[in-house]
Order: sequence, then C-alpha cells, then structure tokens
Amino acid sequence: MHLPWSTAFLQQHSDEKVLLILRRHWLVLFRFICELIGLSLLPMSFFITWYWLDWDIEKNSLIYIITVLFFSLYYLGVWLRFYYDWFDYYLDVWVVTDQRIIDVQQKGIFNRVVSELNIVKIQDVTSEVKGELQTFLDYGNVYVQTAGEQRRFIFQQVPHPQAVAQLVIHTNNEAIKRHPAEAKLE
Amino acid sequence: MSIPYYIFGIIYLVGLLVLGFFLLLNIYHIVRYGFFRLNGQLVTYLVLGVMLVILIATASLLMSVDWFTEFTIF
Repeated sequence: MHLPWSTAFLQQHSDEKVLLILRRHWLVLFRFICELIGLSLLPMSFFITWYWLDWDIEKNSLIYIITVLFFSLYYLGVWLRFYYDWFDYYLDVWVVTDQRIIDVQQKGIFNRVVSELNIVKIQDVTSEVKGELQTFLDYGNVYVQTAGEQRRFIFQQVPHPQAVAQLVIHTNNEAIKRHPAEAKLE
Repeated sequence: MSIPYYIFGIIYLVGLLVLGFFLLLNIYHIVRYGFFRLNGQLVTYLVLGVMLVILIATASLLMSVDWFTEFTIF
C-alpha cells in the first residue's frame, strides 16, 4: 500500500510498508450529516408558517425576491459548510508504517500541520475509551508518547483504539529488534 | 428614493462569489494533497450537484422577475 499523498508532499521510503491509515470514527461524520439535515429542515418552519397563514406573495414583489435569494444563499452555505466539515474530517489522517508515524492535521482552510516520528522512539502507548457511546461503538483516543519529547501524538476518536495501540507497540518492538543501536541512543 | 430590484441580484452574486471562492479552495486542497480519489470524488460531485440544483431552482423561481422594477424607500 502506498501513502495516498505520496505524489503531493510526503515521500514514502522505498523500503517502507504502510500498516495502517486512520481517520476519526464514522460517528464524527454522522454528526456532520445530522447537522446538514437539521440545517436543511430549519427553513421548513418558515415555509410551513407561510403556507398556514396563506400568504399570497406576488412573484414580482420585493419580499418574494429577497426570500428566494436569501434561502438560495442559505442552502448553498449549508452545503458548503458540510463540504468543509467533511473535508476537515477527510484530510485529518494518521498513518502508521513500519518506520514512522505520520500525523496530518488540517486546521482550517489555510493551515495544514504534518508531523512524523520515528517508530523506534516510541516509549509509551495508551488507548482510552471513555463513556458508553465510545465503549459501545469501540472508538476512542490513542496516546503515543515519544522518548525524547514531552509532546504526545494523539490519534483522536479513532476506531478500535486498543487494537491500534497493540499494533503500534508491536511495530515499535519489531523496529527496535531491527535497529537496536538507534533505540539505545534514546 | 428608489432602488431597482437588480441591486439584490448583485448582492446575491457577491455572496455567490464568496461561497464559490471557499468551494474552489476546498476542492484545490483535496486535489493538491492527493485525496481526490473515490470518496473524495463522490462527495465533491455530490456537493457540486446539489449546489447546481439550488442554483437552477433559484434561477427558475426568479425567471419571471422584472429586475428593473424599482421600489421606493422614502
């Protein structure tokens, strides 16, 4: 498997194997879809009131033009917002390879942060599942602590956090076996 | 003082330009970072399709409007 953006800005090493590509759980996306439906239905109350009060609005009147233009922009804005939310969800990605972990975060439209750490430098991996919903749907956070730094990598709201943590630990152990000298440096 | 209806059309077009700018920026990011694959294409085409339907519906609802009609404020 190749990194999906290898042609864009991250170069996959020739001997590097991608083990896992993670995004946040689908429930996050589901919340955006619920928002889209809710915001789409909201003006319905206005149209129902309009219908019930039996307002007879002439098609060449100012109020008609303003109403149509306003709701047209409103619905375009709602769909653009959904597209932005989805885009934010889709472009946030964590990649675990047999050599490194890459954290790609889209922060707003103009900011994109890409961090990576050597898999050998990992010191501690913790998975966290909080609350009924996360337990029921099996998603949560995975914290990856590196040896030399205070900063942690956090895989937020990812599916199967325990399995992900185990995979990272296993990959770390394998990498240390392959590069013991590099691990000792830390 | 009288204002012609087309002023509202111009305000609407300015709004469209702003929305269009952000839409293109989002599409650019998805293509630029190599995510324009199956899922990316599906959602992008869905959003573009719905937006096109909204624009066509708006145009058809306002087709009979005489944009040079003026209304008096004062």
